[in-house]
Amino acid sequence: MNKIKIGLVALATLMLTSCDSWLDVNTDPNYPSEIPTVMPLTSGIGTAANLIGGQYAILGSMWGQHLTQTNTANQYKDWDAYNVNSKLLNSEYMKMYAGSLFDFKKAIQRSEAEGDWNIYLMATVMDVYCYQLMADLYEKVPYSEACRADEGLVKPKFDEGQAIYTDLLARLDAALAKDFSAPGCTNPKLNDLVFEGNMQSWKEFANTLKLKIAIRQFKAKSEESTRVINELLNSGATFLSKNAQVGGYKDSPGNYNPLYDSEVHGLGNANLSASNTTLKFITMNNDPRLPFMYTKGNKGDYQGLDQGDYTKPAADQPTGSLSKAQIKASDPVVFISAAESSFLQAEALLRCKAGVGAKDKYEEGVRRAFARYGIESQAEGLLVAGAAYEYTTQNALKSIITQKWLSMFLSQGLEAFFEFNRTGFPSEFTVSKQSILTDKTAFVQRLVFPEYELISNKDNTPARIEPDVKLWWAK
Amino acid sequence: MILLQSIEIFTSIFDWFGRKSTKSDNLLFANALSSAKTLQISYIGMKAQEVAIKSNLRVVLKPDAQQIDEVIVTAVGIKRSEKSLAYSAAQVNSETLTKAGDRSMLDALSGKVAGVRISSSSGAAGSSTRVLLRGFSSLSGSNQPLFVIDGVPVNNSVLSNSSNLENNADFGNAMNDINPNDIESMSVLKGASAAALYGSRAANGAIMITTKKGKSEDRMKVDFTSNTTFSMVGVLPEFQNRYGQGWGFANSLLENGSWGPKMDGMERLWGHVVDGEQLYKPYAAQKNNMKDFYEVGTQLDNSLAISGGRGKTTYYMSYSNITDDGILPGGSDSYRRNAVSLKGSYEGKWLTSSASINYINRLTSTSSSGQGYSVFNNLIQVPRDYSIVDMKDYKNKFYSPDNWYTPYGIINPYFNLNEDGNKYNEDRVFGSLEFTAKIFDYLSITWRGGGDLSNYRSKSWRAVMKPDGANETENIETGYVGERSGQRREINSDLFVSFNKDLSKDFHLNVLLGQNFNERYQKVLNVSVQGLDLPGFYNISNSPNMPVKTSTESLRRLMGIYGQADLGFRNYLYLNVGARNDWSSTLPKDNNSFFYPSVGVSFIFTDAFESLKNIFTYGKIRASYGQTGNDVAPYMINGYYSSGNATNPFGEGLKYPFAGVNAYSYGNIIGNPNLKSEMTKEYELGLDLRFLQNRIGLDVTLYNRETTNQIMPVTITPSSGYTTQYMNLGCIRNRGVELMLNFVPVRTKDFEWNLSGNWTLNRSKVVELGNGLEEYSIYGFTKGVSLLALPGEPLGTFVGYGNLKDDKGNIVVDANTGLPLQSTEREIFGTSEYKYVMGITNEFTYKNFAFGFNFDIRVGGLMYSRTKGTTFFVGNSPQTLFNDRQPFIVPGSVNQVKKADGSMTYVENATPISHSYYDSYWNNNGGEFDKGDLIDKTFVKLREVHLTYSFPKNLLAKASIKKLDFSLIAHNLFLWTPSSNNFVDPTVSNMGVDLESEFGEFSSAPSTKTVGFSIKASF
Repeated sequence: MNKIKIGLVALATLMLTSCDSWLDVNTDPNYPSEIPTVMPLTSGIGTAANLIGGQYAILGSMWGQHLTQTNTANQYKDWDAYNVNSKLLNSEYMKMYAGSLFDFKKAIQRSEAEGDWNIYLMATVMDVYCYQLMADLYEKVPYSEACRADEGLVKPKFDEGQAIYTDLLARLDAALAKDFSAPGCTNPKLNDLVFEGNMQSWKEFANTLKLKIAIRQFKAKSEESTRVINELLNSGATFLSKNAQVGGYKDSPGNYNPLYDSEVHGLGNANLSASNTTLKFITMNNDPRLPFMYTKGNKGDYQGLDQGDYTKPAADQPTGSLSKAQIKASDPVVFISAAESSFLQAEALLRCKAGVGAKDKYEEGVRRAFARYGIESQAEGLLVAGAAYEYTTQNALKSIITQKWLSMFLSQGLEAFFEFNRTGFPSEFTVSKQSILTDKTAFVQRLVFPEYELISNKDNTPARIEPDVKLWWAK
Repeated sequence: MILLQSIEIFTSIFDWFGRKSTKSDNLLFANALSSAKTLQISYIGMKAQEVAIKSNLRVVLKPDAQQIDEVIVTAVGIKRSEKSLAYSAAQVNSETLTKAGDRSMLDALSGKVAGVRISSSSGAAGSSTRVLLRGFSSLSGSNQPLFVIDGVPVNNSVLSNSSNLENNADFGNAMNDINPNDIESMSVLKGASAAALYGSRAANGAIMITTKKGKSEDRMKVDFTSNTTFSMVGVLPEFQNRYGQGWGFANSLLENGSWGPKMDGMERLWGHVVDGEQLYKPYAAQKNNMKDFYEVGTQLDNSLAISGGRGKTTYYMSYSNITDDGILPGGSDSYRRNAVSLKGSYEGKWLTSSASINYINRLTSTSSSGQGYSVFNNLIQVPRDYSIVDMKDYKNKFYSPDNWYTPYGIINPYFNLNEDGNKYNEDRVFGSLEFTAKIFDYLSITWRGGGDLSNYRSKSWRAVMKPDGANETENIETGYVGERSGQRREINSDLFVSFNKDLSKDFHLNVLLGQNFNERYQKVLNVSVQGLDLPGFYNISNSPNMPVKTSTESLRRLMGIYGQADLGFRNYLYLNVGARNDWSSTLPKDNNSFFYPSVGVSFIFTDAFESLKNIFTYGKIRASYGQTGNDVAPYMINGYYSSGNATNPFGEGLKYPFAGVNAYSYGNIIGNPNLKSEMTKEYELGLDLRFLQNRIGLDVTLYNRETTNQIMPVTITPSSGYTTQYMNLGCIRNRGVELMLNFVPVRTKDFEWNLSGNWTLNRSKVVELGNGLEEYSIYGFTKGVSLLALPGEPLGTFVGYGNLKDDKGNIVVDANTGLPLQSTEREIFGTSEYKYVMGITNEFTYKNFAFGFNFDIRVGGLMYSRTKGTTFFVGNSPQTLFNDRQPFIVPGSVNQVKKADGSMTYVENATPISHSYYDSYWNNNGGEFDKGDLIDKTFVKLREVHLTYSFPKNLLAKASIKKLDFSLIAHNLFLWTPSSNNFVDPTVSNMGVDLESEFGEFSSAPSTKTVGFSIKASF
């Protein structure tokens, strides 16, 4: 009897242990269990470029008045009418944080632990670039407590734009001060989607970004900005002389330029047409960039709509008669262009060095903007004395910002929009004809807090700030 | 041969007032072989009797008491007498399932059992069927019942080729492949106590299917069934016939809508000028242009079964074939199914063994639905003055994509019908092996092993479309081909001991103890490529582009032990106790064990107190409680790294490899090592009453089901770094009443009328979501209406942004345009839940004729309809004729005026909506914004009609035919919807088969109606 008992117990134990291993099949075979440090950097940049060159570029093109909603289509009417609600770009907000910023954070944490200061600088620069964008769109965003769900922080607090700016500058300084010859440093080569591992270019990107941040906040924090700019200029820091951009897009599904992907491939380029704000300006000035920026409509000429005039009857503005933007599948997504770098330097010289050398930088910017279309030499005619784009000390800032605006056509509309809100240039901007803002002379200034936060982080989300309230750096 | 002069049969007849009289009928002359010694006499509702043959036989038949004590197949395939069950278990027999010749056994169940909701996804050939028992109780998990064939769980997965709203193809669900003619009976175990023995898998109930077996009658039986039906398009949107092509009252020849001038019947030029030529046609309404597009579909369904047995051996073989060519012109929608079934058994002295194996091959071709270039989406946007059938020749220079009249998002439907497509082919084998050893008379041991294995291939393609005529820059499709292959495997083993003994004169005990292993595996390999080199060649290699490829695999295992005891006292009081413990591979290792108990009592008071039989023929009261679970899906408890791919609205997104590298990123789901199964607890109370010798039967069930520990993908704010965590939260409650009524108002010698009805009321409530969660989105759009779970509200609440109203409820309109303004406050529009659902079946038999029809009735509830939105947008809907499209002021509308202090006042609006804004008004759903996206989904549907003639037996006997029935059959002949829904059949949905399908339809293919005939013969 005892033997039977022992036997039963043994059998039961055997069954239970074998069951344990039989049930041990819950390891997901469909995803890797570990990834190298550079991978989150690559995917973070890819996702950021997809957003900045995609949906954010559409918003930027409209609010930057390069393009406007076509009267015979519907998709972006709300955007063009400043009809900002919490659902607008809500999923882009999600992708920016969970898709890019969290990956940058991981790349920063892991490269710091490994002493890989190359990856550290790249991830920091990208992180700073994206946070500045978010802070400029929303003013207040989660920052100091963001991307820390791993530590149990699932409801991060919001930080003020000003405080974020201060920290962004500090982090760029810290990352630039690292020892890039340390043994832990690796070269990601192709996994660096921006410069293929060229550290000099990354340092220039970091310097130019510092300049950009300092200039954006100049009005509100002129003392700090002056210090940052002077340090940069006096130290002989070099700035971008080529675009900080993601190239690699091509006419192949899944590798399309994101704006082309959504608007041309996805929606048949039906929605975005030339805005008269830009079209009239370059036509009036006989700017040779015209055919590179826009297509002719089916009436054989260049026609635009006044900003936001999408209710114009089809009888007056038939389908196909409007000029469209020249959007190509292989267009790069630009973070900071070479031209922007020049214009930033010009403004820095204007503000901190009494304008000495600003003219040269301005003209370099215009040339670089023309060079984008391979017509650098044609810039001269417009820059000479008496010509439309001539630099004069009285109109220095206006010229710089206006030319920067043109240089940002299609690729960086959102930056042009921020600069308009900061400086009031170009003076050609007109309020959207369908503006839903109560004050019909007001321009839109910002997005409102996204639904993700309103629903999942309600207690920390600040009260709604109306879309026509100026940002701290524009006041 | 002797001749029986007559047999006098006495039956009890009840009149309308329930008064009983005994009537004698001198019924029949019968022939019998002279060697026959006995005669079996059966009569409807009466107990069959075998009597010795003699002349002038007088037989008194007794009411069939046996009929009451039906044997029901319960969990694990155990047969129990209906009497002893403490829960509601409806059983549907083969006759009911095959009467109207449905190709799907699920469709055949529609409207016949209380608490069972069946809906077809569309009328397309081979489309899937949705099944719901009682109510939706799981927010993110499955709400599908467990399907069990002869004791072995089988697969009912649904396959569609894409989860997005474009190019959506429905390849059907696996249970629709089972040949209804092979089914002996189906029992529906709706509640938790009924299905408790299935533990972690039975939260949504179980449907037990018993297949036909051979009978050892020492003869071979041949059954042949042939159904031939013709299908026609069912409900199409209603169209206006007053205004023709154009936009903004201008006669634009490029438009996809009917916002042009009034049609005047004059001959006009239309379309593009091609090679200096242009077509002309009258500017007049083409009333049936959409209906004419569809053709009559044909379904041929033949099934042959041979069965029999000798001594202790039985066998059953069947073959069935269905060919269904749907209502779309040509062969682009079709369904073909070949099924073979083989079964055998041997009953030894102490060991009984049986085996079955079934093979099914399914070939489905379907046309995509949804937005984009789907046939339906193209059709509903054609201007009212266009004939669609005339454009059939899509290669003609005027009708080809090159010069098709409009560039606006639609193309010639004949182009994508003929050039694009989806194909699905599946081979499936399922079967079982069973051994039962009888140790003692009262004790047996059974092992039953089973498997369901399938292998499928699907292919979808879209033709290259690079117009070079007038549409040169529009309507570009670079071509697409996608292929998928997959495997599914489910293996199940049950070992159980069954004890069945009278303990004393009064007590009877039934015990079952068992052990179960279950494994489910799935692998899917997907490859697709966009941009084809050679037009018309659909192979992955035919592209300069990088194919997108994914490979996913999932494996889950479950081990359980279970037990059940039924104690009976004097055949009128029964106590059921059951329990199951499960160990699941998908749960955290240290916390993977779950226990599911159940208990119930059944009391047949008419047997306990015989005197009650004066009032009731039969009366039973039952009460039960049970717990069941809904398991966690595989790999849910850990976070993971995902592909670095990023998405873009309307686009392909960014897909790696990109710029020469691949990328993985930190995933968006943060793991939860404490995840548990969902737990359902259900109370059930029932009363089964029969009166007047069973001529009236009433079964009432009340239930209260609470499902807690909902596994919810909780959205955490993305600024935390993740977007989602699976958590056990919240509680969904379903309470309901189920009524089943059977009534025989007339029963005479030749004529009988059987009326049965069922009525179900289910009220769901999101009791709480937990974790401070204020809402959970079931389905919705970034802009527009959403279907939510909101605490305190029914599960499935539609919310959105409707009209802006002043404090008196007047509609606020824009002072410049007269157009209503949208509110910025979200409001609740209503629920997707039906108020009640009912089914009514009438069966009339007169001599050899049987006539029956069945209504499926559902009342209340809302659904989203994109068909509505689209027909409003293009001005094809008759609603858009409001005020004959003349400028009008929105009735009772006001304008908003901002006062100096920033507050608002309202003044009466004097701005009419002018012609230029008329289309905007309708594009905003007739000024209702999100609210106007919804329609009332009430309907009354004449689901099936049949008229059957059974050839007289004595006639057939000469041709050695046992039975021959000829039927005329029809499905969905009539559908009534409220006048506000002149758009769609409200049961259609192309949003899957689970909770999200409650959202509604997104340009779904229309439903169909069918008529045909059926022949059933037995030899």
